[in-house]
Amino acid sequence: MTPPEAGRRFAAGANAWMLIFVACVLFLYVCLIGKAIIIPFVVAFFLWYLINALTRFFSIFRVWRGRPAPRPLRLLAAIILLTALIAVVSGLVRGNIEQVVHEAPKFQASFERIIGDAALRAGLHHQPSFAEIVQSAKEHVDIGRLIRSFSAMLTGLASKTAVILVFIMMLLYEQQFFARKIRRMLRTRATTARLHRVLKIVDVKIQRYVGVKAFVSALDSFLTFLLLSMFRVDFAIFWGIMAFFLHFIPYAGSFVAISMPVIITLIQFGDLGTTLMVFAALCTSHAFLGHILDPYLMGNNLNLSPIFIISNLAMWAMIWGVPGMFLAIPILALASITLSQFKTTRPLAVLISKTGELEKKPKRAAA
Amino acid sequence: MVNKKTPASAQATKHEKKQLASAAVGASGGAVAMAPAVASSFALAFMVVCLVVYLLHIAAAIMIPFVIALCLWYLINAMARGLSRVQFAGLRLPRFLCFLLAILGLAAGLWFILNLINHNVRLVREAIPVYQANLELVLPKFLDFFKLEREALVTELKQYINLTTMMATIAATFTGLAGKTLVVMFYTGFLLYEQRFFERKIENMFSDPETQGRVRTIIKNIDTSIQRYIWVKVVVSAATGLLTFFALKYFNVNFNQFWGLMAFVLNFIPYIGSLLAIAMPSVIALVQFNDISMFLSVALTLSVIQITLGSIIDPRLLGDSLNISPIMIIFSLAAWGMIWGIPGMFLSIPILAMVVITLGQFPATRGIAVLLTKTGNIDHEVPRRA
Repeated sequence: MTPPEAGRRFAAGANAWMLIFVACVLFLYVCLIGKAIIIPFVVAFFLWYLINALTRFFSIFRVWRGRPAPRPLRLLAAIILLTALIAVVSGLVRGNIEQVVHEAPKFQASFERIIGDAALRAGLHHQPSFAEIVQSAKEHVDIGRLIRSFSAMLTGLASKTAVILVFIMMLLYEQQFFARKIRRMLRTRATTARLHRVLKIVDVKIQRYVGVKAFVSALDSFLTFLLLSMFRVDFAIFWGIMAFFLHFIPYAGSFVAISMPVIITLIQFGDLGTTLMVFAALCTSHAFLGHILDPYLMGNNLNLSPIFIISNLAMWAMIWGVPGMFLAIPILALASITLSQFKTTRPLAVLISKTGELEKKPKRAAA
Repeated sequence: MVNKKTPASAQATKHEKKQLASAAVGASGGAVAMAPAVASSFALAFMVVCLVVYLLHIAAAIMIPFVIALCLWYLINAMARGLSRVQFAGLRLPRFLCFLLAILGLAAGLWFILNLINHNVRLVREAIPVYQANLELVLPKFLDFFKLEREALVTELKQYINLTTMMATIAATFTGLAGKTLVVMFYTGFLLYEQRFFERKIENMFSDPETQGRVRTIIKNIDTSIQRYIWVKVVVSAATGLLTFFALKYFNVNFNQFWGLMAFVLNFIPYIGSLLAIAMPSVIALVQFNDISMFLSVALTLSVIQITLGSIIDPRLLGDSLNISPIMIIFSLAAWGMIWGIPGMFLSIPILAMVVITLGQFPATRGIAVLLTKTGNIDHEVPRRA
């Protein structure tokens, strides 16, 4: 290779990477400013995916002469089941949120009293510092605001329901043409095969992720509810449901799912012993579910580095807020699988993997 | 070669000449054709740099904890490596224990420093109203001494020297960092956990052995020069801090512990840090003693300490290992101060060193690396591709 040739190749490679970087930044920017349009679509897409997965799942039930029910019937069943589930959960959450918001000021007052007591007990008895602590605690932990922002998120999604429903219906109607579209879009058989392979891997991995997470989260939610009602903590049902959702947010989710009920316990009973007991019980259940059962079931399914998971979580939280936190892991998994399919981008997939090993080398693209 | 040229060979040489000429034309034609490609490369590189700076700025809240975690992780590793070299009766400490000791040592050191700062900040904060009152008393005296116009200057100076907001900013920086502690701990823990996979990642990321070798060289060079930088800076800063402390104690200036510590910390910020480490205790001395000669002698002593250590000893010890142009240092300091505030100022030199080393490794970007150096030499020459 002659020097100018090498230089040209280097420049071409560098240019491609720089353009990719610019495109990525612009993509993130579009995600940020187009939040109001994109999030309902993403939620619709996710629900559509769930409906399809459930429809497929129902085919294991042999209803008539050892044959599964016809597809339209299964689809209908999936939609009804999902709608019922959403209605029940959102009804429960809404009822509880109203109650919590209603009682939030009372809790806050009692919270301030406890903080004050703690400050006095810790020997910080000179007045200015005491007032400061209460002030700064109030700034950092405004429980009322926290809960209100969460409920605002839920109501915000609810008000978008119409848009989401329209999107889902369109996706369900149009999915019959998807295969033909892909075939005619890509022309060559090799590219089509590759796309199908990527979609299949994504499908398998995301389904496994959602399935395992849903199972572990349900267990977690039930255990949280059981433990809290055993200790007679208020709003046990609410915290149980919250635990279900928070389990889908890596690291930060468990942190919130443990700390909030513990704070509520402290406020409700004002007793350090009970609080510590609740704390220990919740920690044990989370440690077992999140660090033993979850990795055991999940295995090396997604193979993502924790560092990238956390930073990605922070990034999507910044871009899309709470919905972004739920979607951070699926998005990263999608990116990792897609990047690993092409020779040029494979190093990036290695970088975000946990162990630095990808499953199998892709065959050379038959150019 | 045969000396006697047969017609055929003559023809051949002619042909060769022709080929050479056409090659030359091709090369120049290639250069012309290359021009738009090079221009587009530079345009793209400029866009990328702008976007990177913008991203660093808007995502500072996410990135600073990660960068701090990276620094801590690096320090823990360096300390653990140091501990693993210690031999005791022919026995070495096991790797696990080295890491544990390093983590505990670092945590204890940070805890001690933060506690000291916290304690002193509270004391200083309590003393500020007294100082401010004193300052207003001293200011006229000061002006008489230098025969300056009074009214205009007093109002102007008062705008600049607002001790309360100054201290509040510093205190807020530290509390802000403390609030991020949990996140930083998370990142540090995961970096320590994942570092066993880094080697394999490099292997799998770069299949071509030449690129792999280059990446390893970059990492090794960065490691060597950053380690050297940190050691020299820690030693020189500790000396500066101690000398400042003793000098202030000798002059009986209040909070000499605090200012000694601040001199240690500020010494990691080039130029501006030294300036602050001289100016602030001197102003405090002025306010405390209400005496101009005291102010001048404190300022003079501190200046002598800073200049001796910062401009004579420090460059000697660092040698050419950093080799960055002072203009670029100041520029990068200002830029990072704008992008990331105070943490950015501490990180500006290490980041610049990394950039210079990395750019120096690729033929296409060597020019930029040369521009950033002080003497124009890049010590780690890249073997040219054949």
